[in-house]
Amino acid sequence: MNGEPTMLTWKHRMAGAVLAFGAAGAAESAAATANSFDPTKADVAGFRVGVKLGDLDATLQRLFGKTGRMPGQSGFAGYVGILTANQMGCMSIVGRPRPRMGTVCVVAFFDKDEVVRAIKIQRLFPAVADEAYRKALVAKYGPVADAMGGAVFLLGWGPRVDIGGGPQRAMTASFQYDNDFVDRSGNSIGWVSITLHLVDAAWASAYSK
Amino acid sequence: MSPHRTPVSLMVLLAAWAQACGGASGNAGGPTRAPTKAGDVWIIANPDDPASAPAAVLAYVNGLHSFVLDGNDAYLGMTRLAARKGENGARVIAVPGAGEVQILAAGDSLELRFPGGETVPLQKQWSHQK
Repeated sequence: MNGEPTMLTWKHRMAGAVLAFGAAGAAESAAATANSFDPTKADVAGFRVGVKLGDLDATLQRLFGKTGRMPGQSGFAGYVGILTANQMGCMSIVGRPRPRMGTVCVVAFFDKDEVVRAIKIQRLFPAVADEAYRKALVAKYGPVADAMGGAVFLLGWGPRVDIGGGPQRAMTASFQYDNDFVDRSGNSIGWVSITLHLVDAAWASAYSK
Repeated sequence: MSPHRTPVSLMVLLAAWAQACGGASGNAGGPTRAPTKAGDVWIIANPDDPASAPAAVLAYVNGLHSFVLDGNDAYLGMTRLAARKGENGARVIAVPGAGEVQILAAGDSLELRFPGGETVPLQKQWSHQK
């Protein structure tokens, strides 16, 4: 494995050195980073917001198999439903077989015109250093506007969004070790879950006004 | 018949034929629906291998963990990229944020090689729709 997985040193490796600036410098840098990120031109694992639901559905079916649609607001009034692929497949549920490495799970949120306004994709990996995650994402999206360590290593790009309990930035990524008591007993190695979540921030902001 | 009508009719027919054959929709450079039948879906082989996990993370972030390869067109999620010919028969795609990624033959299969040297083996996805 490349490097030792750790949650303790993430602050020292922030791209763009957002946290290495003084307080004023960090705020300016984060603001500039947030302003330069356009969610409508970005993608998460190749997927976009602002696309037709039918086009996304066809693509998900080709790549991941059966999809499902469910009506409902899903935490934000602008969302009228979700499109899913393998929605529960990445969850570790007691009494059920553990998800397999490489499993991919997708939830897309669409509006009344059946336009995709947010998409969340998750994949399971074997234990891997969080540096691989940080490095790949910073290479793709540039310096982060936000970061948070702890049990979940969270990175954010773009403008702030307010969609209830969802992500706080237009683009967020999370890295999380998913170990249960069996893993911690030393009998096996847990896995890592990486989730990417992109929100059409301008649409969400306009909808909220 | 007006001489201007034939090309338009031909274009409509060609578009209908492309859709019937499972072709993709959308414009190059913009969001694009992946073809429903054309090409093959390639996924990361041995997804539980920790040695290739850093490269797998790189592939995932850029949509190369599961993608359609149809000739020289690669569909990373809903992003279509055209491949150019590289050395040793490799197909090379310029992936924003990841640089020029090589798709190389590896026996009966393929592998991805990133500019930093990270490699990850691929396998054909058989379980969906084909």
